[in-house]
Order: sequence, then C-alpha cells, then structure tokens
Amino acid sequence: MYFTSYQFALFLLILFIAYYLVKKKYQWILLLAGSYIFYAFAGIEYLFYFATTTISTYLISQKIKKVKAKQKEYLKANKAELSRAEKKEYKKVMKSKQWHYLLACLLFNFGILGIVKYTDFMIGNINGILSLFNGEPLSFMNFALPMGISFYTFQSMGYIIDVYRGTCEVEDNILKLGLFISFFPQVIQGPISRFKDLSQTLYQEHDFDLKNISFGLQRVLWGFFKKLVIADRILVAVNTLIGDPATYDGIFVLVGMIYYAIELYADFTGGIDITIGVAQMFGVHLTENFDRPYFSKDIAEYWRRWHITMGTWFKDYIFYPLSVNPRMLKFSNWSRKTFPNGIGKRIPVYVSSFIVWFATGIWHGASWNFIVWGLLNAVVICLSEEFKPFYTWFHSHFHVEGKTYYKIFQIGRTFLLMSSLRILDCYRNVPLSFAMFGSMFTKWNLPELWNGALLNLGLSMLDYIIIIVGVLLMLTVSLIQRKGSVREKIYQKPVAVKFLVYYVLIFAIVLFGAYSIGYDASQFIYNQF
Amino acid sequence: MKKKVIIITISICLILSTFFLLQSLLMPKYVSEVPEGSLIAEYYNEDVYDHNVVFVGDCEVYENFSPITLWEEYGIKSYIRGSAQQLIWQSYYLMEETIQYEKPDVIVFNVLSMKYDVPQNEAYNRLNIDGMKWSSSKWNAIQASMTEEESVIDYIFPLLRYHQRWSELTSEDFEYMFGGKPQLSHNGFLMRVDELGVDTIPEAQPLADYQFSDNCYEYLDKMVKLCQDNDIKLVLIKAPSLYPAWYDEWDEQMVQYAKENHVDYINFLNYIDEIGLDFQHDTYDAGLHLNLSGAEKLSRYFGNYLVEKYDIEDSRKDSDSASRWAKKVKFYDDMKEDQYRELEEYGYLKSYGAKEK
Amino acid sequence: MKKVFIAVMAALMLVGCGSSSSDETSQTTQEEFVFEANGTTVKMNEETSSILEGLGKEIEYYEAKSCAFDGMDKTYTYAGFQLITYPDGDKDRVNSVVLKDDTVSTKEGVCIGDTKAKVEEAYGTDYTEKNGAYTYTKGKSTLEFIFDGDAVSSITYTAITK
Repeated sequence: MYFTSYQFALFLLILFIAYYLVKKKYQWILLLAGSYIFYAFAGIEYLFYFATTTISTYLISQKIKKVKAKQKEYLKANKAELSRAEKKEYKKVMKSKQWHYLLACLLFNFGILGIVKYTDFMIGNINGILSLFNGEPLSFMNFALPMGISFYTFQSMGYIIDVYRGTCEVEDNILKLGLFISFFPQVIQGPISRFKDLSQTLYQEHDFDLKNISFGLQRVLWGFFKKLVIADRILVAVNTLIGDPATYDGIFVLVGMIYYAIELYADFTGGIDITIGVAQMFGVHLTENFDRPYFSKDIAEYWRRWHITMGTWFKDYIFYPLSVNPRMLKFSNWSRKTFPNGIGKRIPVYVSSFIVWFATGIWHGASWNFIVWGLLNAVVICLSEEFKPFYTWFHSHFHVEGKTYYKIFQIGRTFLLMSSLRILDCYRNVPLSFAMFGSMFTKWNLPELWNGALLNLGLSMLDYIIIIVGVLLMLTVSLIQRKGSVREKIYQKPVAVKFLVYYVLIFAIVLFGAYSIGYDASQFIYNQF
Repeated sequence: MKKKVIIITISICLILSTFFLLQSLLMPKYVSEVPEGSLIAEYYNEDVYDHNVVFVGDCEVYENFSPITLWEEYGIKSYIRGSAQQLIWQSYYLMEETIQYEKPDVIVFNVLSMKYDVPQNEAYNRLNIDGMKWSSSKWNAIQASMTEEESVIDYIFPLLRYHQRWSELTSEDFEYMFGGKPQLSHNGFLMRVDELGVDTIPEAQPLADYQFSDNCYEYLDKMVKLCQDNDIKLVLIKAPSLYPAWYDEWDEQMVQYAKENHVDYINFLNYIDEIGLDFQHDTYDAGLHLNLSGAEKLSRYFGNYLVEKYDIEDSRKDSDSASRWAKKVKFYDDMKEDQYRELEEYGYLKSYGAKEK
Repeated sequence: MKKVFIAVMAALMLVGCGSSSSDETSQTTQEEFVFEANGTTVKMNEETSSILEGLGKEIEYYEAKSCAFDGMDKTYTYAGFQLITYPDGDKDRVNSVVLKDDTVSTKEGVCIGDTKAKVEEAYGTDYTEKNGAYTYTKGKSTLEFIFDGDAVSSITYTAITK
C-alpha cells in the first residue's frame, strides 16, 4: 500500500476512527493489528519476515536480560567474597555470553536481509568473473524483497544492541516489541527510531487532542503537496533526461542534477512528513529525519541534516564500535608511529569512515553505483578534512567567514557537490555516471537550452510555473522554520486563516497533483479531454 | 468545544461543496468536442419512456439508424442507447438499466462488440459509463470495464480523473457547469449529412482464431435471458459498415447462435443492394458509418421488417405520441438544414464534431 | 605525501568499480523483427514518413477514423503486402505489416506457402501457439504465422504499442 493510494486513505480513516473509539489501553494493540494489515497488503507471506525478526529479537533480548540479571544477583550476593580480579573475570565471561547471544541475533537478522537483498548482486558479480573464464553463469534467485526490510531490520538490531549495551530497557511484552518493529507509518522509509524514544509515546494512552491531530493532519497534507504536486510532476522531466543519456549530455546533466535534487527532496521529505504527521495524528512522536539539509554549508553538516536517523544509526552502531575496537586501536597506534605530521592520527578515522560509507552505500542498494556513491562521500569528507589547513589560511587572509554572501556560496557549493554525487543514483551505472559528469565540462550545448529544449522534457510551461511556485513555497516554509514551528504560528492565527491553509493545501493537491490516469503524459488520447 | 464542532462542520461543508463545484466544472462537457460523450446521458431527458424499439451497441447503431425515419414512415417509437466502442458487457448493463425504465417490444443489439474480449481503452470506458445514472447496473458496468490502471474511486469522484483539465478549460466548461446542455442527438442518433465515398476497402488480414470468447458469449446469453424474462424480443444485427472487417467465420457463429437461441440475426452486409445503399454517397467516413441518407435508407428497410415480423403498432394515430414526436421531427429537420448550411459555408460540419479537411 | 596516499587510495577504489555490473535497467536498444521491401527497412512502432518515401506509391490507400477521437488508422496496400499505421500525436507509426502472397518474404526468407519446418528453422521453437498459429516475440514486435495444414497461409508483423 503506497501512501499515495486510495486504499491507504481509506485504511487510515478506518484506523483513525477506531483508534479514538476503542478503550485507550487497547490503542497500541489496534496499531499493531493495523500495522500487520498494512504490511499484508504487500503480500501476506511477508508477515513471516516480521514475525521472524520480532520473535528472534524478543528471545535474544530475554536471554541477554537473564544474563544481566544473573550477573547482578551474583555480584550482589558475593560482593564481599570476590576479589577485584575475580569480579572482572566474571564480568568478562558474562559479557562474552551476552555478546554471543547478540551476535547470533545480528547474524540471523542481517543474514536474512543479506540473502534477500544482496544474493542476486553477488551472483551478478560472480557471473562477471565466471564470464572471464567462459564459465556457465549462475541463474538469479529473484527473491521478493519485503517492503522496508532495510529499515525495520536496522531498527530492531539497534534495539538489541542497545539492550546488550544496557542503554535500553528490555520490552517484556512480545506484542509491544512487535509493534515497535512493525509500526506502519515508518516501515516504508523510516525514520529509524530508537526504542528509548519511540516507546515514550507508542504504547501510551492517547486522548483525542484536537491540536495534535490537526498539526498531524497539516503535516500530512504538506507532505502530499510536496510529493504529488512537486516531486511526481518534476519526475517526468527527470526520467526523460536520465532515460536518454546520449541526447541529454553536457548542460542537460546539470539540469538533470538540479531537477533530481528537487524531486528527491520533495519526495523523501514529503514521505517523511506524511509518516511523522500520520504518527502524530495517533499521538505517537517520531524523530525528525531532515533538518533543512539544502542549507548545509559543507558535506559533514549535510549528513547531519539529511536522513538524520540513518546517519546516527551508522555512527552509533558501526562507526563508534569500530573506532574503539581493539584491532582498530592497534592499527591506530601503528599508524601514528608510521606516518608523519599528524596524518597518522587521522588515517584510522578515515579507514573507519570508508568502512561506514561502504556500508551506507550498500545499504542504499545492491549495486555498484551505490557502493561507489558511498565511497565517494567518504573521499569528499576525508578530503575536506585534509583541506582544513588551506581553509584556515584562506580565512585568515580573506575575511569572508560568516558573511552572508559567503554563506550563500557555501550553500550553493554544497548543493552542487551533493547533486553531483547523486548522479550515480540517476544513471545507475558507474562508468556512465562518470562519463555524463565529465560531459558537463567537455560538451558545449548550452545554446540548446534557449531553444525550448526544456519544454520538450514532458513538462509544459504551466507545469514549470507550478514547480517554481512549489519550490518557492518549500523555501519560504524552510526559512520561516528557522525561527520556530510554522504550525504553531498558524495556530495563533484566526480561524479563517487556519481554514484557508487547509483549503488551499487540499485543493492544490486535488487540482495540481500529478496522480490518476489523466496525468499519464504518454497517453496522447487524453489531449482530447 | 461546541464552537469547535460547528467550525469543523462548516469547514468540511465548504470543502465538500468546493470539491463538487470543481467536479462540475472540470468534467468534460462533450458538446462541441467529442459529442459522442453526451449520448448515454441524453436518454434521461426523455419525457416518456414508451419506446417500441431500443437499439443498444456501438457507433454502428448510433450512426446507422434514424428513429425519426422509423417514426415518420412506420409510427415506431425508438431510442438508440449507443456509445463509442461500446463493449458487450456495457451493452448488457445498459439493457438491464433500460428495462428499469421501460419494456420495449424489441431490443436490437449490434454484435460487432463480440470481437472485444477484454477491457480496451479507458477513454471509451469514460464515454460509455460516465453518462449513466448511478445504479447497480452502472456499478457492474464499471467493474467489468475497468482497465488495469483504473480505479473505482475515479468513477465515484470523477474530479480525481479529470482534475488536470484545469489547464484546458473552455467557455463551454463554465457555460454547462450546472447542466443546460443543448440536445445533440435524435433519440440517440448522431446526424451527419456530409459525404465521403469509398471505392475499395483493404483486404482484411486473416486471424489465427475466429472463435468469439467465452466471456462475450456469456454476456450474449445474459442478454437473451434478460429479454426472455421480460418478454422482449431480442434482434441481433450486424450493421452494414464496410470497415472494420466482419469475417465470415464470425458471421457463421452468429447465425448458429441465433438459431440455437431462437433469436433473429440479420447481417445487413448481405442486403446492401436491397437496402439501396450507395457507398459513394451514403457514408460520411468512407464506409465505417452511414450518413443521414444512408441511415434513413437502412431505417426504412429495417422498419418494414420490424413491422412485418413483430407487428409493432403504428403510434402516429395516438395524439399524445404524435405531438411529442412532432417536436422531435422539427428538431431533426432544423438540424438537417443547419448542417447543410454549414457544409455550404465551411465545407465541413464545423459545429458537429467534424474536423476541417 | 599524505595527499598522494589518499589520492591513490581513492583512485584504487574507483578503478575497481569500473567493471561491468548486473544492471537490471539496460540502456541498450532492444532488437526487433524487421521487414524489408524495395530496399526499405520497416520497423514496428517506427515513424512512417521516411518508410513511405522508400516504399514508393501504394496501390491502394484507406483511412479509417477511430470511433470518437482524432487520428486515423491508415492501410497502405503494396504489391504483396499491406502496411497499417496508427496515429501518435501528429505522427503516424507502423502498427503492422501483413504479407499477402509469396512475392514477398520475411527478412529471414520465409514466405507464404512455406512449411512449418522452415519457419522453425528460421526462427526457432520459442513461440507461443494459439489455435495452430505460431507467434514469435522480439523486443516490441511480434511475428505471427498462420498455417493452413502444414503451409504458411498468413504472415503478420505487429507492433507492441504499450
């Protein structure tokens, strides 16, 4: 069930009404049922994946809990008798036990994810090698990918790691854990929640709070506006540009980059708005996943503001453990001794970064273009670290830091940089992506832009006007948000203004949304209507 | 709290009214462009539902038969519930709906649509179904007709399907927003007086399989049963259109079916000479459809058959019918005059959906 | 030195990724069945203006308007075959080619009257069969052979338009 489908609207309406009619203590059970029904629409066999992850995570968390409890009890009982060394040894053994349980859970669940998502990728690469020796290629397995498997697996594994670390309470009710893992608004595209945060509002009893619900509804409408009016509209042009690289090289690559940047932002943040808004209508609070990322002034900042929960997940569960891993510390010492001038200190960090970015890349998709994309991000981040002395020298001579025009330059530079990296996401083919990027500098076809080429991409003049108005609207909202919540501001205004906000949003979506058959640009016959 | 409830209720009302206003505005009006779209809905404008004969089918019925001729020559009151590329299940459900309004003596069905086994084209679906009033028949017709990309909710709230027309609105959309459309057909007949003759029709390409599908036969069976249950005579016809091809193998199946089910089947293609059709002058699109002259000839011929075979009463004696139909005849003659005038003036039927040559 | 090291590392990463990958969305153009006559190549779904020029004057021409909308299906009859087009905006595209007699043949050398065996020899056995007729699919085109007993009675190229 997609967010932008009629079934979802109906499903949501029924669930919403039931939620506030039912006894408050059963609300979370209703959410669990709703989540499983939502997921079943994709295919009832996929529920098996949910159940497997939930049960395995639950069992392991209970086991770890038992070990921790036993440890506490034992140490308390034998506080006086044991020596420090003995206590340390005992703790080590207990930790090791917990670690083994954790490892089993991680291997099992990441194993499922790995097999389902990455088998065909591995087979493709193996076939590539085999073809060099004229070997018989293996056939692809074509596993059906359960919706959101990357998201819920990471979310549940984050939970079990937190349990292991002791930073999170164990959930003893398997159904409640099941809800945490399968909560329907976030299962499609995140945000990836932490149990500590989500459990604050997921299981509580919720009153019918009109303000909260209307805020949630406004956010949902805003998300639909971004998705249907802006993203799906400009997607037509993006597809035209990407689908014919031979024709659309040179300056058109830049055009495509910018269009895609708009499309991805509107689509992804719009989807998250719907997610968070829907959750809010049920009284559940989800973490923000975006913080006006296109205002970032450098790549490091960008990754703190774009897809935030993914970034923090990799940081907390891969980067930090990796950095403090004994083997990494050993390498770090060696590096410090071997390489001169402080670079020795930075290399281990870079190595960790590359590993994390490799994982990030491959998390996005089972193909080389995503891996290269991830690694290129790492390259840029590391390079910008290396260039720090140069920047310091620059800013000491040219006093532009903090000035508005310089900030705008930084924002523009970061925007273009991130858009360039995203080319790998567009063409899905590594050599082609590099070739197209290069053609921006080697092919001179700027004049073609004035010849109306932009109106031959599937967008009419009216479409462009709508997109521009939409982008300006997004920009305005973002600028206002810097000074506080837009919805709070609306809330202070008189009724007529509040009504107008709903009215305009609803009919902008109904009239200008790029949905339904009438919008299929390839069906010429509709020129009649 | 009460205040909030009132505000919310008023807001919802305002939003709903805007929605339905926009819907009325943005739905295509089918007056000067694609007048075929208005055909189905015009049935509901009739004052009295007392037709002796009802035709059901695709463009081969609404272009080839003239109810006015049937009236003037034989006193037969008829209506043509035809629409563009009407599929057999759509015809069946129209029949079913019509019987809720009246019980004609004869229902005539053009069997060309037996060649279409599955849903074909969303645009034609909309022409054929949007005009129907809501009923279980309409619901069933939608279910049977939807192509893969369609969704029932687009039929319940057509604004969702036509919303992008905001960039194509014409004065017509505003003028006819709340109805008041001019009448375009003559009891379902779309008049064309222009001529485009034909010399030869290309040879039809052979098919791998001439057998009509089970799905279509099922609907044909349903039609037979529906008419039987309501004591109505069903007449199957194949209109004398030269194109698209009507294969002998198809014709044989219909002859056989008619025999087995005790209904009449007439293939007018076999009687072109008797009807007196001249495809140099009696067609406006090189043999696909008859023009006014051709339709009148065919109606004259068929009317005679109907009277002789089914003994349909001559209603010209009934003063009530006579006065109602006199108005229809006047409207028909006026339009004929107007069309000839346009043909003189512009060389083509500008206001009647024709395109400049 | 440090910068060279990083540059080398980066380069190594990138070089390793230049190999071919299992790309689902292939951008190579698919092959299709193609008919040849009078030195002109007729491809399904292709725009017809240059094709018509190459084929020369037709023996017969027929235009059929669709039921309610704009656009004509056009049938051009030539010696031995028919070309049927469909409208796409203000252009016409090839919808099908029907071979009428044995004065013309397919590009692979099969013509009316040939045996089933000859068809299978030229096109293989990867066809779908319906009522005895063989339909081969290649890219966005199909090639259908109807048989009368063991002899080919009709050959039709059709474009897949969706």
